[in-house]
Amino acid sequence: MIKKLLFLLLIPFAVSAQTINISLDYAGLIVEPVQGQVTPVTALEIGDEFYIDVTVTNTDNTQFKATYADIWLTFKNDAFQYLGVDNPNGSQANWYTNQWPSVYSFNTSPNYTVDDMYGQYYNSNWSYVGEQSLHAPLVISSQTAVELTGVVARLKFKYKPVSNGFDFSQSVMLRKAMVRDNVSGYTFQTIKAFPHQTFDNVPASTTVTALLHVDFPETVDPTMFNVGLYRRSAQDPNTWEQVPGSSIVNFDSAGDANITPGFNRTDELAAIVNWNSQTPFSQFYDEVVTISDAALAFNELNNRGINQDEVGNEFAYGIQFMNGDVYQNGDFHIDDSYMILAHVLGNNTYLEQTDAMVFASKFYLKSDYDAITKENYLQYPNVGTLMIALDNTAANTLNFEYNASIAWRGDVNLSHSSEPVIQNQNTAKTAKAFRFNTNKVAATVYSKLTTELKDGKVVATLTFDPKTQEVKGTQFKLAYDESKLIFDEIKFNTANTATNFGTAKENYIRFGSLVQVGTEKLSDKTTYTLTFTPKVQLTNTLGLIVTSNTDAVNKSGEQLKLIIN
Amino acid sequence: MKKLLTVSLLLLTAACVKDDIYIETPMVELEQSIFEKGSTVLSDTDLISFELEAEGEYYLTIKDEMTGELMTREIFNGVEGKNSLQIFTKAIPKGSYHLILTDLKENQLQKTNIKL
Repeated sequence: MIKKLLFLLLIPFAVSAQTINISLDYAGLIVEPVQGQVTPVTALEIGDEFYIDVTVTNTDNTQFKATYADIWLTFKNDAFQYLGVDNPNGSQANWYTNQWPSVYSFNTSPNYTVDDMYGQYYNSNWSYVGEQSLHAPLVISSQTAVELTGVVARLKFKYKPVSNGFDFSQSVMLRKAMVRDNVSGYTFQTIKAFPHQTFDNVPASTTVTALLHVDFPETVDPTMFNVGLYRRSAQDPNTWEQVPGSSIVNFDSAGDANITPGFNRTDELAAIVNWNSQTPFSQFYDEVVTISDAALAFNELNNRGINQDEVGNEFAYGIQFMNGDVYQNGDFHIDDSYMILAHVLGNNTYLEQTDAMVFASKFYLKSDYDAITKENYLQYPNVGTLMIALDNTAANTLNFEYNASIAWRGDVNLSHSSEPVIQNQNTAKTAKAFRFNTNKVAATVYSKLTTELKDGKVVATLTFDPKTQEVKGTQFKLAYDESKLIFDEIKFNTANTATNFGTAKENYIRFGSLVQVGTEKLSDKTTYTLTFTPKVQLTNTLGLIVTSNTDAVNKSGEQLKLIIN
Repeated sequence: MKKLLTVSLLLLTAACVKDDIYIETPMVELEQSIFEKGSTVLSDTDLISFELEAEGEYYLTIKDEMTGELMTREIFNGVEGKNSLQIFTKAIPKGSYHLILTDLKENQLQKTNIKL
């Protein structure tokens, strides 16, 4: 009897003693030079591609087995390129994986130890910190209910060149995890990062390289662009060819790219930057030129003083005139403003091709860019280009660093262009030009989106709350599932004098309003109602219509932050 | 001779026993509310199930886990007890999201994490 009582008392302890341990373990090069041998971690070099295994151990799997795991990590993407995840169990245990740019900070909960993966899973959070962040979030989630034990996933990384003195601590780090037995519905509550929570190895070679830095603003993710090293062709001086031995590489999150391979001091060299993302360039560009640019362009041309001969009452920088001159004929004119508006409305565009970055981007050496003023801007080239000329022949050493700036055709408010640093700049106008910036306090207005099935149609309704802002323009972009919906119409309930627009293109609807008449503005009665006809039988609408990007501008031409909630 | 026959019989029996071939097959998962699972990977048109205490109108909202930004919100008529709705993912960028059930006053009732 006593033995039975003791046994019953032990059961809860046995259950609570069940622990899931998750560990990160270096596991050799992806392609070992000698099959069957594992390159020691101390022999790793810059450029090597290697495995970090995720190992799961269940201290007692007799009652509950780990069959689902959601594991979050961070890695320093200035030093590592994430190449994906291999499944050691083949198709029986597929992994969902995703990574984010290194603009987020993982806020460890102080109420739980750092290695308490379960405690951190439910009590930690992420916050946006921009360029300060060193760590890119990464997640793997299992998709098949086999028992997860032993090496369950093989993360693949590649060492990237870094500057001297780079801190490799916490290069890859387990942050939080949730593990379940989906057969019984049991969630493991003791999950530890053990024995190895981090991978911190310092590779043997860390050398200073020839670097190109582009001053991307915070609104632009540098990793969506790549760059290659080119030289003027000896056979045809009007042609540029890639330098033998050079690579086309993506910029890192700081806007740096290693251009050492192929770099020399004899050829006339240039860096050619291009769009390198799965997102079409046109989608990115939709965020660059918005209703705020159109409104500011009109404001500059309408605010020319009593004699209509003043310039620069709204624009702070010469580059704003250049970006506003979308016809690129050396004359920022009312026609340019209307063309910017037409581009935003989706009726017409000044871009020769909407998906080719070369027609929209402009690059300058930073020293030149910072010298452009409202008085001398006509002296600078104002055509689309992907090219940055490098002065590589005058130096005495290989350790070169080049600094460049980027600007965009149509980006009148410089929301996605480098911020010029100009002497004796008018600070009030500078503040206006950069009113909307993720690191600066921005006036925020709100909108609410609701979708529903109504009388056999899918209806999306957007209402608007301008708060205290005198809003003159709004711009919304909604994505919809065109495999299931046909867009019918949009109904506007806005100020009487508003110019309303709505354009359907591919699987997006762009719409909004612009009020140009004096004291009129958009009120909190503003409503947009979009109607779709289903192509398939539907019982609900969750996920059929989603927000994409938004913009709003007030009567001063200042870009506002428009949040859909 | 007897021993030889016995051994032979034993060998013959052993030879005829079917070899065990172990093939790991996915386990059958317990059917649970999406909100009880804590985290799930979902694909287009997957059914999500959950319980409601009362009939009425509710919101289902999807928000980006990293930024908190709202991706979409649906208003639907729920029934008391089990509700099953489809989720449509083709228009939503790949990522990690919070799926949140609220009443019409936007009081949070249940919340979970989904990967799309």
